[in-house]
Amino acid sequence: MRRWDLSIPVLFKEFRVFMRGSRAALMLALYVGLATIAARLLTGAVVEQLDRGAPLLSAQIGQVLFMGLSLTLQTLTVFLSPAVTLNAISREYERGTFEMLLLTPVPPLQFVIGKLATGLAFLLLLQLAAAPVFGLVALFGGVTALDLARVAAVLFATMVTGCIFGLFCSALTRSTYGAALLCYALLITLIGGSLFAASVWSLINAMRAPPPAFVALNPLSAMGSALVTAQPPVVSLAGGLRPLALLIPLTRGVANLGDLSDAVPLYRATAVLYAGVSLLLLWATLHLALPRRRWRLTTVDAALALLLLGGLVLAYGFRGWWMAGLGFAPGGA
Amino acid sequence: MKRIITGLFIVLLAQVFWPPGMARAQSGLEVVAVPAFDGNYQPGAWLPIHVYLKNTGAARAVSVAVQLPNASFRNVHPVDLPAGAEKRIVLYGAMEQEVRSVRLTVEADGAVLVANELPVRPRINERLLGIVASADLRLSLPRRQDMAGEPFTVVRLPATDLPDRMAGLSSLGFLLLADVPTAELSPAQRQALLGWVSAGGHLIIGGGPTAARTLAGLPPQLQPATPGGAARVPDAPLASLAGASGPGALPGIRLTPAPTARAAPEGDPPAWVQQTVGVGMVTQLAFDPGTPVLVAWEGAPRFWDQLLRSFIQTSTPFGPEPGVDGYQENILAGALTATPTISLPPTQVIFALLAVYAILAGPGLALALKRFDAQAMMWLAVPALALLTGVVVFGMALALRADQRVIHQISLVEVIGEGQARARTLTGVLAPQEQTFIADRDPGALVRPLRAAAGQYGEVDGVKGDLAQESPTLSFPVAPWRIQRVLAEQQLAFPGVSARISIQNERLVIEMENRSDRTLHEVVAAYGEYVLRLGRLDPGARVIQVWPDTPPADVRRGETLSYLVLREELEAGRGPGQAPDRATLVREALVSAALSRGIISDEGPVVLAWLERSPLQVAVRAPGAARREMTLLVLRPVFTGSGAVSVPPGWLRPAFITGEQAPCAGIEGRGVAVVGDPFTLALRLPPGMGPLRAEALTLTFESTGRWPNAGVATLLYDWERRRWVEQDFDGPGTLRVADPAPYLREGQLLARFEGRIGEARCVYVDATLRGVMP
Repeated sequence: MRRWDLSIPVLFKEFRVFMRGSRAALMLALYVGLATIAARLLTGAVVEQLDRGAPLLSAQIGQVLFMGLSLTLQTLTVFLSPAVTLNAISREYERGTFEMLLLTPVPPLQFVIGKLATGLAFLLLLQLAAAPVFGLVALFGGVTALDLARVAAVLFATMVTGCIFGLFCSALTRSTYGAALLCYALLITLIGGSLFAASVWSLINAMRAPPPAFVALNPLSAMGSALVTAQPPVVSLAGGLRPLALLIPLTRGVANLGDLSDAVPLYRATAVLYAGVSLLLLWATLHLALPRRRWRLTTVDAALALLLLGGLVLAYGFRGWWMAGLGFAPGGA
Repeated sequence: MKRIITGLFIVLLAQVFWPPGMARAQSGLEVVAVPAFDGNYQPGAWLPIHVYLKNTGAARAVSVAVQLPNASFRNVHPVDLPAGAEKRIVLYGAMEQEVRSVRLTVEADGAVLVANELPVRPRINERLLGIVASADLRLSLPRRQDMAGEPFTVVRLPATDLPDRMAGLSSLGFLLLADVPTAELSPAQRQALLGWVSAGGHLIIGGGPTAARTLAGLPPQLQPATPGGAARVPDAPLASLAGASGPGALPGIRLTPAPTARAAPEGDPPAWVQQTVGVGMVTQLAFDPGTPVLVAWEGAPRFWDQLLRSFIQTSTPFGPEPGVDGYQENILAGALTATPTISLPPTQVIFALLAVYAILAGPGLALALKRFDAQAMMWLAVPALALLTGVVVFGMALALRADQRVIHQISLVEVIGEGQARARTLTGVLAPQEQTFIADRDPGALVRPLRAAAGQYGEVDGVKGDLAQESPTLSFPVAPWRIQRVLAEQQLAFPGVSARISIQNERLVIEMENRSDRTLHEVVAAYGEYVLRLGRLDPGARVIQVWPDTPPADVRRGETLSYLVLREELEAGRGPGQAPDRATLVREALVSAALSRGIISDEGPVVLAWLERSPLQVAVRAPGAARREMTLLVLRPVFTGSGAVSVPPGWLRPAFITGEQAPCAGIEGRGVAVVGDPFTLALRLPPGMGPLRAEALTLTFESTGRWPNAGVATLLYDWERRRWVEQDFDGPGTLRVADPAPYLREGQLLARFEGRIGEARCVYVDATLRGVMP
């Protein structure tokens, strides 16, 4: 039974260790500082152009800030999430402490979950620390609580998947350097490659909008699609859609910024796909973390399989909701 | 059956004794309403409605309102009615639709006391001619059924009924005064006449023995000629205009044209003299328009058809209309979308707070907790600090949030002379919530919504609701996030600002004087391709500047003055990746509205200046809202000089206003399209330089196509001998005209090309002229 004991003392130990040293403090300062700098730059850029071109309303400036901040945080999250777990397993191997760990009563599952929970908690701490920067948006308005919730959900999904992905790379390579290389190579390929593929598809198909499936796994596109619905008020000014221009490079095939009525909620599909991928990666990580008899099936596998099955049933039950994000069904709010 | 017949009889009696326009006493109130001009109106114009009110009940305050069917606004006139009071008011209805009846109501405390439907008649694409004559003047106008378009509708009105506001005349396209003692007109009526003409009306003044009486009370600008003694007026101009044999010499008077006026092309003494005033025209006839010979003349309908035409006519959604009001308002309404920059909240404090927070949340807390070896407390300390900072930042943000309302006011003030100006102020309001705004304004200003229009940055709608007249305040509801606008217009006193062009040392100089109490900013004088920057003119200041004798080298012919005046600002915003400054776009629209006519016209040099505040304010009460106010003053300098003068190149320029020649565009800018063989090219000096007697004239011809090396004869029209004179000219290039005086008359020069000139396609002409102003 001890193998399944997800006891809190392990987590507490991980939490205590995580905050030692300067890394956590620096990451916090960097995260909040970059968000503040992004907000300042965006405000400056908008204010500088306020007298020129299409008129901007206060609400639209709020939306520019909101979109810019959300994209900045999502970009930081995409790259920081794996980083907090990249060395979780590899460091134990590099220090030669993993074999020792196996001799302790702490089972591998508890060890992996502990690392994952710590990383996730830290990422949540980062999000919480960055939240006051969003107060600037309130200065201008234009954003609803639903918009905030949507962005928070996408950030959370990215965090969870990124953390598990980092753990997976760490367990696979058992070297921090190799894990970082593999992780970021795959990430850059996923983000850049999916947008590139969507562009190529569009080029060879008479500049038609590519299917949303091309960018379904792209976390930046998911955030872009979540932001598309943060629409400016219906105004009699032509500048109303101007803030959305920020999203043009990320929302190929997802939203036609000239007519937002047919924008697809890609982020829903991304969240469901991320949930599935996360579960599979977690399962693989649990096996890869073991030094020997890696692929022997245990009750943990059965539990994960059940979880996956449950997830699939739910996904099927709500297929209309999330497949709308892939353009297969009519979307909803 | 008997009952039905009795009922019908009662209804019939009611119709006889209670005609439309008259409401029977109800609740002690008697109302009679009569639309001016027999209810005839031009859609888009104002229609005065004379309302008689008699209160036989208790004292009360009522509102008289007129509304067009399905219109979203009403024109309302508040009236105080003491017990037993009788009042006559003129309620102006903005006829923004083509309707056949309007609803007039008298209301008190929200209750309708009297309601009445008044029949009206829209006159779209018609010439509405008002006749004010002491006798029953008869004109042989063309019959409606004989015309292909623009038939005449005649309304007769006594001189006392002439509106005392120019807006009251706006439905009329033409007004004929014959044997009218204009000295008996009120000053307001005279000013209204001047304002109406300058806005595009065509005033015709009857001649004959009573001409002096008709002219006596008119403003000088409306007197194109000085009446002289009795004379027989040759019929050649009439015959020429009618394209038929004339009625024979007419009894009339000798007219001496003013320097700015042009006499009829043939005949001496002239049969009529015409003068442009603003975008309108005054025609002084030498003969009595009711002369029996003229009435009996078979060519009379064709003659009147040709003579009674607007100086400038522009197209509107309702069809062509005299003047340029609709055209200008469309430009200005579009400019309202270039809204002022919104009020910005102060962000520095919040950014400073966030910067401190970023340091505290990271290294700050870490270092502090490390001292106590309690780094793990970061898990609690960071959320606590984030929560505290978040509450402070959100609170500050909500407290510092700026007013999101935007008030945009643009005003065009055109000086029309006699110390009068015509001001039009467009006010656009944008608000995040539905709310009612209250604005302070001059009670004399007429206010109306404008038709929905599109501008560069979106659309604007007209305001809705009750628009009060003769009231110091105006209230109007505004829908959320829609720019809604209201137009106020008024003819008002604007004394003290004058501009004139005179001659010094054989050069033209412009002189500008500001004796008003307003500062004139960025004053420019402009004509053709010339823009003279006269700078700022403080109250009491005067500036004189010599007109350059060469046009700017880098300016193409026919470039718009709005571009030339604001060239630097506009160019600055048109670079790659740059957007134009919206304030500059509004200025461009104002200049464009002031000068462009939809067609190429040439009203001579113009002076433009920016005012800090419009003399016609619509001050919307919205403290904290973002505002921009822009006012352009436009005036036409008068010519006053005499003596020898070198006319700058480009002043004797192709005239397009007559429609006899069409413009064409080439690499050098705007030229004259070569149409037909022979091809006649008309050049004109600006109004006021008509009396110039030419002493030296050089014409330079260029073309986009190849100028034929043979087979083209060049002729100039000799006005004295009344014949074409062939010139020794092997074009393209320079033609020095020997003895040019006979070729220039009343500032007009005609050149004719015969033969293969069509190969030249588009002709550019420059003229260098020296002469003497008498």
